[in-house]
Amino acid sequence: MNDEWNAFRKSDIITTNSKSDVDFSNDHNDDYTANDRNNFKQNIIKGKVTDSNGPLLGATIIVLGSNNGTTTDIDGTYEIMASTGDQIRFSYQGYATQVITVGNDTNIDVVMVPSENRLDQIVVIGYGKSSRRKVTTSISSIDQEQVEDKPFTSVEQALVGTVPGVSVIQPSGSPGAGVSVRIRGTNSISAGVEPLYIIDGVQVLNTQGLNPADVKSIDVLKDASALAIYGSRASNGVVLITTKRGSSRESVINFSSYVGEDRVVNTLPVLNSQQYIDYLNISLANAGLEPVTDPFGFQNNTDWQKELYDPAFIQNYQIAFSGGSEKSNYYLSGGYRNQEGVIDPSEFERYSLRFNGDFELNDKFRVGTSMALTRTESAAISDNARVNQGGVVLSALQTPPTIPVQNADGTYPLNPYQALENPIALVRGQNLESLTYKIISNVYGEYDLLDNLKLKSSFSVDLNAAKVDIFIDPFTTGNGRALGGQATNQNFDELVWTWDNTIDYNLKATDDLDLSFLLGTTAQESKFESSFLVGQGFTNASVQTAEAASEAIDVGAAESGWANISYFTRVGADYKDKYLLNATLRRDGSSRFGANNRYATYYAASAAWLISEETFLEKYDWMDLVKLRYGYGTLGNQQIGDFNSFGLYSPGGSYPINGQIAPAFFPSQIENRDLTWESTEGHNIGLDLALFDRRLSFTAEAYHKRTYDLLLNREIPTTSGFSNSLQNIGEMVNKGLEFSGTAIPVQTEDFSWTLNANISINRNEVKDIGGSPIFGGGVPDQGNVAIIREGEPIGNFFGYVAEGIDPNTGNVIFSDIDGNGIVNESDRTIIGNALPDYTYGISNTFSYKGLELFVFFQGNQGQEIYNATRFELENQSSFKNQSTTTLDRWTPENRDGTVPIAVFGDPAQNGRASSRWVEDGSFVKLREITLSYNLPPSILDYLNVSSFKVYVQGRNLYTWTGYSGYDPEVSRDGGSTISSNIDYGTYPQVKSVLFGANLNF
Amino acid sequence: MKINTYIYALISAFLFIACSDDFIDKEPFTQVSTSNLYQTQEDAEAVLISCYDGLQPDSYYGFDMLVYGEVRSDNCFAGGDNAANFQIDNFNINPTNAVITRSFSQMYSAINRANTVLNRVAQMDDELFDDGRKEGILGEALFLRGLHYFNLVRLYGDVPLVITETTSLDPAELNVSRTSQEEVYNQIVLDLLDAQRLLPDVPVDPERAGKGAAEALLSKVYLTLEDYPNVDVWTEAVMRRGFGLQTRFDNLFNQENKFNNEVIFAVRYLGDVEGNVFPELVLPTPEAAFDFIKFNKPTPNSINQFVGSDNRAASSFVRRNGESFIYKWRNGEAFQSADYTIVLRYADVLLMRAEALNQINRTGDAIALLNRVRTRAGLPNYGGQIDPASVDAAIFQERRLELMYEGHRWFDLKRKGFATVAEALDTSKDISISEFELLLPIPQTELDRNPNLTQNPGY
Repeated sequence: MNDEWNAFRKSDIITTNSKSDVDFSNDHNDDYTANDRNNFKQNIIKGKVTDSNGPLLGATIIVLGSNNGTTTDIDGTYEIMASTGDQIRFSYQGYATQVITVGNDTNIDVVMVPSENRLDQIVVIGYGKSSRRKVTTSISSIDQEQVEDKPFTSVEQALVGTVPGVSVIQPSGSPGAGVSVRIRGTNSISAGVEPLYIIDGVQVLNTQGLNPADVKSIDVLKDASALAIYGSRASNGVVLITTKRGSSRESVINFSSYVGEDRVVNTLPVLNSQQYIDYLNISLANAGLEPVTDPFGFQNNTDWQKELYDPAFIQNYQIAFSGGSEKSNYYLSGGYRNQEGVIDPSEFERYSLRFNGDFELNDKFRVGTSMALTRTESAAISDNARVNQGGVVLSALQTPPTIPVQNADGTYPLNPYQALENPIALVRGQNLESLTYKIISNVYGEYDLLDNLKLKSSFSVDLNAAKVDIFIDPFTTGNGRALGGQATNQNFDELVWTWDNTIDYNLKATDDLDLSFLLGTTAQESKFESSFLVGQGFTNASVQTAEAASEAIDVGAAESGWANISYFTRVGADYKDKYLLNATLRRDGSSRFGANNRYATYYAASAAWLISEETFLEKYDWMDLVKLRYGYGTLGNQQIGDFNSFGLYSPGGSYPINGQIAPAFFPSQIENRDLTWESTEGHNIGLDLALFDRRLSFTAEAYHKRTYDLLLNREIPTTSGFSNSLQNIGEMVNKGLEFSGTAIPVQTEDFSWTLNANISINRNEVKDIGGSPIFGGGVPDQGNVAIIREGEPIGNFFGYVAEGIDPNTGNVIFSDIDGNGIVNESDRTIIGNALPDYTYGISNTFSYKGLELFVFFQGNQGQEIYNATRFELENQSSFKNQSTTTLDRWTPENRDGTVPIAVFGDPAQNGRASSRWVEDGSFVKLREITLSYNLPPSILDYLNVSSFKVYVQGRNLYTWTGYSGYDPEVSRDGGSTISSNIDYGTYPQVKSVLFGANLNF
Repeated sequence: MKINTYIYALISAFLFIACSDDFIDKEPFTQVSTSNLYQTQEDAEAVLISCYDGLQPDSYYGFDMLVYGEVRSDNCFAGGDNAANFQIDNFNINPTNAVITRSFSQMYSAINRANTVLNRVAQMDDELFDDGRKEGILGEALFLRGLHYFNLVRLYGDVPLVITETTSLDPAELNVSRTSQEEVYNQIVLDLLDAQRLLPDVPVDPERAGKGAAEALLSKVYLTLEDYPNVDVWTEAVMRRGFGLQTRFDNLFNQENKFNNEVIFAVRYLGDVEGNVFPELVLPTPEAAFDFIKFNKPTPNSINQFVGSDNRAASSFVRRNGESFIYKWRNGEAFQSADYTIVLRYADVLLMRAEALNQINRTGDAIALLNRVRTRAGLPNYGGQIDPASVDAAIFQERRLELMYEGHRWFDLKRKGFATVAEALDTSKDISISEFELLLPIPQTELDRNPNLTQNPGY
């Protein structure tokens, strides 16, 4: 048992080695064979351990109930002493363990199968690894299969619906649009709320540029006890991304590609030319104004959405070379992606290169690297704004159908009654382009000082260089003509370096107790620089840089930087394979806080009890794993500006002196010497089950997180000369439940059905924000529609309550909440909430021989959306086109109309911020349906390839929802803490159909 | 298991190799911390410049002061499409009104900039400065602080009087109560007297305040306080500073001669990023780039005031397609205008002096001053009754015509009392107001943030 444990430890225990295919060639086989007590009539059993790709190096082989154990060599071969009737256990990280009883045959070859339910898979934890079985905290993982051969622009999209407790906000369908990720709710109001991303051990600023095809696994650390090792960086959770590395086996060339088409999910019905003029004349007449006519005499009936939205082509290619020898391995890949947007000219393009390698210099010393270089280029269009501000989507919905796209002379007609541009002029008259180069590079060296004492030093850089160019041409739009053309060129540069040093020490204290120690430091420094140049006055549109402008009207530059220093330690104890305990301590210093408050200490403890290992459960042999775990920890947040604690003067506030701009400094920030960390403490309790030969596995978790000393940008009396100041005020709680499970209801030789499901419930409450509420989410003509108040969750919408339409006047009746007889601003109240009651994902995989069907549904129940796009389309107050729903407007003849009376200018303010615009945004999406076929060996041999998969995939093909806008996945303000889920002319989501292939040579 | 001493040593070195205490000391790069500023005269000048900048935004002289001065009076309608401006025009202002909210905080932001200069520069070593510049800097800051409080007290009544730089987030320091108008006026007078003493005879740059600006503003403060002997003293002082009337009235507004000797103090712009938004807001095309519903539209009542050969009419408003627009600014430039906005000019001083002298029984001198303004306007000398009341009315009417749409009218009406305001609004706009509406409400957001603040009665 002890030696079994000893061998098991080699594969399971936390190591800081980033090599996933752990090399056991320097194991001391003497240990296993020293005790000959049970060597009774033993034979030498030989064999080979392989998987579908070939021999497995370092698979662990143990004769159960004995001290005999060994590992496979480079050819996958092994030799072990065993008697007939002995049980031999074959295990390998990430593969299902097999137990084979020794018969008469002394040659036992084993083909290892990747473990389906992942209970024994390797999980990346902070500064190390563990086996899933030994994890004491809340960590969810997804593997390569859930990332590859899917048209994800960014790796976070793989987390949609697949990881309980993680919500991914995809605010629009713009190609390359950023996504926001929340792990177990939103923990802060003014400080950052995005998780920390770590790619191959490198703390990175974001995942931009990471090619999802290079990803091997993603591990999401969710609870405070798992996160405390990252202390101040981790209060919003940590996403650990591991990229592919070569294995010490044969060389493989992988080629994968898909091509496909994106289409806008749907279009919204708006009035045609005749209906539009009718609407205008009703609306104008009701306001006592003169009627209008169509200057084009109803020649046109332009469908602007049809003109704007086009099917868009998407293509992706990836080639990767991997392999290695006993002493080294490599992975080299190159990728290209091009994704057009459904609105021309929006587009996303990425080139990526990666090299990962590990090299063993001698028995004790290893070095390695992970290097990635990417170039991303994207073109955007202006959305999330009303037509007046150049919003393309609202222009497509609201430009009169009566005008043509272009006049005969090539100019673009405006709204005939109001100087508003048509959407085609808007997209053609403005270029919004960005180009980013990114290098993430890491070099490490690892030295075995003793067999059980390992030093590792790792140096990483995350280098970002970005350029944003905005050009408004001097001809197409009125704004462009007024400015004479305008070019804005911005440059950003950021370099972050990180130096990690760790010491790993494992100690077998007694036969039953194994201890592990981790001790480490991290130093990090960032330097950021930016500059911009704005020029006006262009005679043509051929050169679009600000330097070509006849006058430079504004220039600027900024620099910033931060530094962190951290000391941390973790102690793990494993008693009899049943009782697991981990404790973490971390001390962090950050340049971002006041000199008196720069350091903070974080700590955590977690424990797990593998109940299934207890003798009293032995008779229930259908219970493969029953594990109960609990963790508590404290965390910090420092995602604020670099110099928020200083009394600051900023450059700006210039004034003409002697006919020249005199530069100036103005007081921009009050000193706050007390500024310190925002703190979070969290509890987590979890239960893991694996039953019936692991045909059924299940995890349930409950958590409670309290964030206090919130870094809150508090409004202060403006008589101070300032309107707000970042202070440590307030408290917020997130608590929730998560359930996830995998079942394999059918598993035969030819056919299998695997079902994965998860559901997450999070409840947020703002306990304290120092009194007065915080408003946000401004909508033109409506004011702020979002509010944060004490005692309520974030994400609330705020406004009047619309009771219905007065049949006598056609005006909306608003509730007199305070009952004082008049409806005024004090009658505004909470009218909805953007947070879901629960979210879930369900996937089914049906495999029949080489054929596989994957069907994935994802849902959100209970979120509400503030549909300000519909406000623009139903307000009936201007010359902008309206929705067809307004055909059922109130008129003296249609007193039960569903839309109020049309009056130009909306004097009764029927369109004010109210419950009229709040809609249930619950949905179920058919996220993915994929049919794939793995070509059979006969064809593979003929083609001389080792595997060949072809597939057809549909994404977001259907959405079940009651939401009336384009799509219920919408957020004008992205992942804003205050004002999520406002729909306001947001770039609509797309649905995709793809064809792809994946080959291994 | 035995671990040698060298291993301990190696481990310790390994772990702490990167760590040193000042590693996480970071100073701002492109911003300056308070402790590092105020090392040189240039530092002090740079902060002073930002005090002037405080005048420019649309929440102050860039728009809102001209809304208060004209749209609350009988001269202008709100125009445009801004609900907050309609409320101001119609005298149904809510404490949540966006305009009254933003200008309140803008004025205090400008005050804090001046307070910062006054606190910090006073502590700097005299030897750091060129001759007289330390006094000059303090004088300019005092003049600007006086101007801000004069505007605040006239608009909001009792206001918090903050005359020290904000350096702490302690609520006891931040939650300032209101100070009576009388005390605020005392402070304004103190500031302006100090400014007058410290400022140079001629400003070091034409855009800055000199002694004349402080004296002209003192005159206006004393006129508001009906302290006519002091108006006499300080207008006389201005008249010795070499200012004069432009021969052609339109020279003041055609923007070709912005450094003329009639302007005593103006808010200056250069165009582009240092631009004035107001002209684009009020002018028709082609003077403006865009053709939206313009703001500060002249009332028919105001246009009808110009009678006879008054050459100021054509410089004050313009008619296009049957619509009238104010015309004392001439270049819209897509919200990036270089047009200036005059705060104090010599004709204003002459009329203030005329008004004061008439009140202290020097009606003849008053009429002479009045006639100087009328002559420039192409009008005959004053020929009405010469009793003080008639002359006062004539001077008051002359102020309206001379300073039409420039942001003075509301304040002139208000200092004459509620009856004058009520009658003017009834005549021009057919609206009646209550006396409490002579003051704006204190912004609701300020009441929410500061428990020591109270609302003006009536709101």
